[in-house]
Amino acid sequence: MEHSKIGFLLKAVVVGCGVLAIAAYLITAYPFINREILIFYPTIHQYYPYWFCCFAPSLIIILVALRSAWVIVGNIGNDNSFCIENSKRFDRIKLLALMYAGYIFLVEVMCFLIFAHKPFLFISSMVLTLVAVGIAIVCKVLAILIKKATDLQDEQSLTI
Amino acid sequence: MDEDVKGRIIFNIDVMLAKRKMSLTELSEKMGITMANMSILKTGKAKAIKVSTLAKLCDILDCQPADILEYQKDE
Repeated sequence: MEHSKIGFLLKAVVVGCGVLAIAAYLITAYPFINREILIFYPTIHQYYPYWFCCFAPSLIIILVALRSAWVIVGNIGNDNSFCIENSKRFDRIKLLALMYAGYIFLVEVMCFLIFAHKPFLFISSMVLTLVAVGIAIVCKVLAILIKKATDLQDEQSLTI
Repeated sequence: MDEDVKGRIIFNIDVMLAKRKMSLTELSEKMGITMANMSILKTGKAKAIKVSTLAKLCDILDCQPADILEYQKDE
């Protein structure tokens, strides 16, 4: 498969992830817009606005991470997979994923302690935190491997 | 590993080129490597040289490796 095709497919994946993330957050925002729906969930009704105001900003972290991912897939599409920039971008995504995990964990623990957050929602958020930590680990490994590959490529290109 | 080495290998190709009355362009054509790579070799930026490349270089310039290789310690 050509690099341009791989780049195009990866860009489609990144766009898909972005759309999915925005859609997920819009779904969580829906009760904020249509308060009447909260009548069916009286226990959540009290603290939902506070929870949403704390949870919503985490979307920014996801979008910033996807921006870095976009640059990486752009480089891959241009047959420039092994470059220092890609390694640094993966490191950045790792940091953002850890920030996201930490932020969600803090918000959910606070909501659980202060508002007696629904256990199901708390566990779902913990799963989200674990996924973010997993992404951080994968990105760190990829950053290391790409750095090594870049060094090998540079050495190869300077071998006469 | 490169940080432990307190010197570098330099290629003294100019002297041999002058002795054999050959230009750098001619040498690169005979070697089958680009002028860019020749420049990398000459300026000491090369990270590695294949043994086959060194053998070819000595063959074309009719010399020994010691005639073109020199180790220079960093000051």
